[in-house]
Amino acid sequence: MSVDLFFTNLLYGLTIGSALILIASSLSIIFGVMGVVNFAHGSLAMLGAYLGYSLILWKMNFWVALIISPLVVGALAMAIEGFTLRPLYGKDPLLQFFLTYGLAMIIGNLVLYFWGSDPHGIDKPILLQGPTSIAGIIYPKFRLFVFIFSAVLAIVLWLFITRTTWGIILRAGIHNRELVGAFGINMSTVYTLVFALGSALAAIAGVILGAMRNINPAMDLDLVTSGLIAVVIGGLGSFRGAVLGAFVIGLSESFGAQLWPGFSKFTVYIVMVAILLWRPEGLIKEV
Amino acid sequence: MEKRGKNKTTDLARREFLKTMAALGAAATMGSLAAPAIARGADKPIKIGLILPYSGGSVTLGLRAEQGVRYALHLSKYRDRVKFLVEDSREDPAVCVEKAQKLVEREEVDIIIGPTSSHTALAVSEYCKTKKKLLLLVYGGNPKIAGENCSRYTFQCGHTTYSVSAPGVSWSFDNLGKEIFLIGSDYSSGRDICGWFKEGYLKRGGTIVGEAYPPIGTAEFAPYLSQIQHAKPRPKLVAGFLLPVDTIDFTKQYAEFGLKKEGIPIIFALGVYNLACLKAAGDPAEGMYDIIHWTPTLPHKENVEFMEGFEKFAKMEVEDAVVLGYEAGTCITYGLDQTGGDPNNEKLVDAIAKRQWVGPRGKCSFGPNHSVMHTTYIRQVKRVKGKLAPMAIKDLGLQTTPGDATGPGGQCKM
Repeated sequence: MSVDLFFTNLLYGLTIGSALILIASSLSIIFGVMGVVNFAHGSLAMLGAYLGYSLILWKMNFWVALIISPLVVGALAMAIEGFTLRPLYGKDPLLQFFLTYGLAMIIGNLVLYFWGSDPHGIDKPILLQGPTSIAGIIYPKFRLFVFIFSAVLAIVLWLFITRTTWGIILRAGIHNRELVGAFGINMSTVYTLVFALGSALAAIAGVILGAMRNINPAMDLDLVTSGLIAVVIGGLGSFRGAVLGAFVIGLSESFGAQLWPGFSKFTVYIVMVAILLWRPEGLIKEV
Repeated sequence: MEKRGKNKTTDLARREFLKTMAALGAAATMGSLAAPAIARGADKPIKIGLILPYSGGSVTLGLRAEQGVRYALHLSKYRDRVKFLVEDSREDPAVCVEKAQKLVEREEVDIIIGPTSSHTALAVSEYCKTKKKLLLLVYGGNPKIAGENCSRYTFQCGHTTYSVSAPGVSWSFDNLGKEIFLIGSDYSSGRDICGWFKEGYLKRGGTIVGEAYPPIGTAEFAPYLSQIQHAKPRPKLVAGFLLPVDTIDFTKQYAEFGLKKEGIPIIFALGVYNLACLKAAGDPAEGMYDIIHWTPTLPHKENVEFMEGFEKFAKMEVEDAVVLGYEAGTCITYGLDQTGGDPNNEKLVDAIAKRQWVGPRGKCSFGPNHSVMHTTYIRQVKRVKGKLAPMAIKDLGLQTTPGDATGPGGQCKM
């Protein structure tokens, strides 16, 4: 592989990873704080993508869709958390898993009902269409935007978690929920907000990915699978781990397709198994 | 009197009963001579099992093909006798065979339509061969089904991957470029089609500058596009076949990576630039090419009438998949017409094998290997009245897939 091709693939791998950061980190935060493996996370991202698509069809632009779609999905997530997840806290975690699996089925069928089975595409903003050149490498402008946007959002989230009072509450809640409750903090509200925030981030990812790829009713499974792999690789419940895991997936996909073309789909799984054998707790064991 | 009267009543009733039975017996005997089809199943319901993709990479085909089949039967006199049983093929051979078993052994269907991909079609065809069950393939263009795996009970009503790719190779060489990069979904159709491009180009002195086979369902083509970006010498054309949903992502990302701007066109086999694909892919697809047997703008009467009628019937646009579903459906109605409405598979097979017709695609007929002969076109995506549409730009004439040693699937022995 030439140096040129190596750097090209490195760049593409980082971009694929950066698009997954929002899915993986929000999945990780929900698991870390609430202890819920949210199988419906990919479906909420898909719903975000479809809402974004419809908003653009209704003559709104990409940027408006990028704001409104997560707000709608976030509001829906608050209702989902309040009416379905809340009664199951403290019970067998399998019940939560089955519930979110059922929610994924319901959302998937609603998408089929309202938008049909045909694939759709979200138009990119005109400013971000076409390629640009970075140090001689032809690179799509929109991917550069995704890379920067995801990085900025990840940093903002990181600062939120590590530097704000709410972030401290979140981290404390992961370690000892009862103790946080004993300080008079309403953990129910915290859970609702975390689930809504995580789902809104998934919807943002959905809109962005919908502009990079097509949107279709089967995309939810791909998204939640990639998100879960990133979380497992990075370390369950770890924000930094999820970011790292997303990049590992991106780079595995990018270099896997070059080096082992026949096995490119398995490369990610091979890397995951190797990492888990080496560090069963994932790459990073912290919030 | 009372007793006598009672007896009279009984006698009359008995006589009436005997007369009625005699009349019924005579009618039944006469009926079997005068209208044999009635006694032999011409009135029984006709069960048609559909195994089509309603999820996955070929999701755009399933519902449309089904509507095409339904429309054909709706136009026929058999529409009240038909019962459809629909199954999702999930593009998995094991799933398809399981669904075929369910339809044949439990539901006792008379005819199966589908599935659409090459590997699933071959699996179901082999199963139907053992069960002597009529199988009409809407897509399922595996050339082996026209060759060494041919079956008396299987008809390739749509095309083979060969008949809608190989005829376009020479045209591509002459008109689009002699240095070619091949890309194909990593399964039999993708590899076969790239193989025919490769063979045709090498025979004529062309250059293969690279090959890539992304897995089915790939959404992220950056690693493959970077290979095209770095290929030397620079390709003048990218050709092959990706599944329809994968084609959308590939085409969008192809433009993003500057390859469209560089002036390198794409030509894909199997008509993947259909209307559903174009709506999702948008502007990046404009100017690209595909190879297929139909296009909405074909001016002949059968196509125009079909398009008008179908759009009223289904309230949806006509697509390639609709046409193929319709053609398979008309094979059923034609066969039933020939057998007097009897869905007996042996008779239907004999009837359909002789069929020659003019449909939305133009003249069609079946070869001795039960593979359809049809006209193949090169289409280019153009903007017509503000909308993208695949327009026929070259008629490549009638094409078929030989079932002898010269064919791509080997020798067919029925």
